Amino acid sequence: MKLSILIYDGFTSLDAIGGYEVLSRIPGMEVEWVAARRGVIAADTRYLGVLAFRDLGEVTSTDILYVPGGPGGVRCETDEPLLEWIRAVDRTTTWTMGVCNGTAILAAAGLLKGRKATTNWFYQDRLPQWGAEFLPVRYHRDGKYITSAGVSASIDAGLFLCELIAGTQIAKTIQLGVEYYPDPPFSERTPAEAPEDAQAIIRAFDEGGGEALLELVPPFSGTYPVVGRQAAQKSAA
Amino acid sequence: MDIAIALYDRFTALDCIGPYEVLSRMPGARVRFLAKDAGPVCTDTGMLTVLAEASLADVPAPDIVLVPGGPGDEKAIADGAITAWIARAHETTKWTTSVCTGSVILAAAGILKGLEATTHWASVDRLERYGARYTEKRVVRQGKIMTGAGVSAGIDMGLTLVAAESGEDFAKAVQLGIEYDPQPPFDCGAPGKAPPQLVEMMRAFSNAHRAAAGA
Repeated sequence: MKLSILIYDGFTSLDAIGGYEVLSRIPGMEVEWVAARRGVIAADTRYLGVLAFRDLGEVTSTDILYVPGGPGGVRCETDEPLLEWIRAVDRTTTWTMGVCNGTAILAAAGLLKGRKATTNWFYQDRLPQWGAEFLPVRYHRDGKYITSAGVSASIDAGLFLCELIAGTQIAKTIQLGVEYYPDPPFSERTPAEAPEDAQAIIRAFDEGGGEALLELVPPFSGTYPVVGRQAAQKSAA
Repeated sequence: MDIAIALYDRFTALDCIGPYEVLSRMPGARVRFLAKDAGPVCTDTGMLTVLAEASLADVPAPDIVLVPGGPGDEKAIADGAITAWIARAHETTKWTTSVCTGSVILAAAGILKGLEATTHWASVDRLERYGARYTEKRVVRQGKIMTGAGVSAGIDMGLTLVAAESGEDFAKAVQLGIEYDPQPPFDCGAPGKAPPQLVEMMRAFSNAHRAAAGA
């Protein structure tokens, strides 16, 4: 079985790695990392470079299409060639999965029209513009579409999909293998429960901090040209 | 705040990506993924490659050290570069940390002698062979040393460290930022919660994987 993970400049790596770390352990699973062009993709923090060894032209079909979120995902929502590729590959998949605002990318491609889905906390009001209904759940299945809440929810959703693909025994063994009995240090689990200053920090990040990050130059880009970086979009003052 | 994450062939990605996602949000944090040689480093699945921006030798004195685990750990220990780097860096770090069998590497570097630490549940004997005392906790702190249990425990460890370093309110914001409100579909994440045959199956797989990585 093949898992194709789409990555792009400014994606959030835990969105992808959480799901990858569990799904890749299904016996026989092959994983490929796909981007607009082959090469190094810089994650949102600019500190991590991940190798995409397939480009869009090489991937015409797969079993699982996996789309993570991140600040760079906003640009994907209006990237017509990318959305067209997503639609085309989705026609061949057994499962199509979106994590965090990766769900919005699937929605922008038209895949979630009339469907129910989840996404990160601050995207819930945006999903309906593409005809999807937001559900405030950790992960959700609507037909072959698996969607999850933000970032760390990729692990929970990944295990859920592991069970759908390989059965409960294998999924439980994988959970054991990654020693997943999570124990968050703080009891405030959702923005509604959070102190006001915590809410302010995450809202500030969501409302513009992401774009500021994308302006940063990945430190390795001198040696390894980075694919798809559009830091020069804003014109110099 | 210079954070150095030491990679090696066949490390487990989530071990360090989880905590990196959290630590990188601290004010003034500057994260560098390092390896013996700068360049591409392959993870344990053989299907993910990430970049080490610089070599260990380029960053001898970081503020925070993070060492992930993985089937490649014994080979990395035998090679010696990573353990020598840890031993030297540890003299001046603010925090020395590990996730999963990264604690076995810390122990092999000699910095856990007589100290309590945690590791992946299937590697307890290897941790203790290097002089550490296994404690069955998800995150263990001994002074400036913080160790996390297997793989996914890195997120919990990272948040604990952010709280110690940047305060609870900031750490709460980071926990929210990664939406860490876990709802695993099953409760089978530790040997005590799992049927014995799954534990044995996982242990056998882990041993085989490590043997193959050392080949």
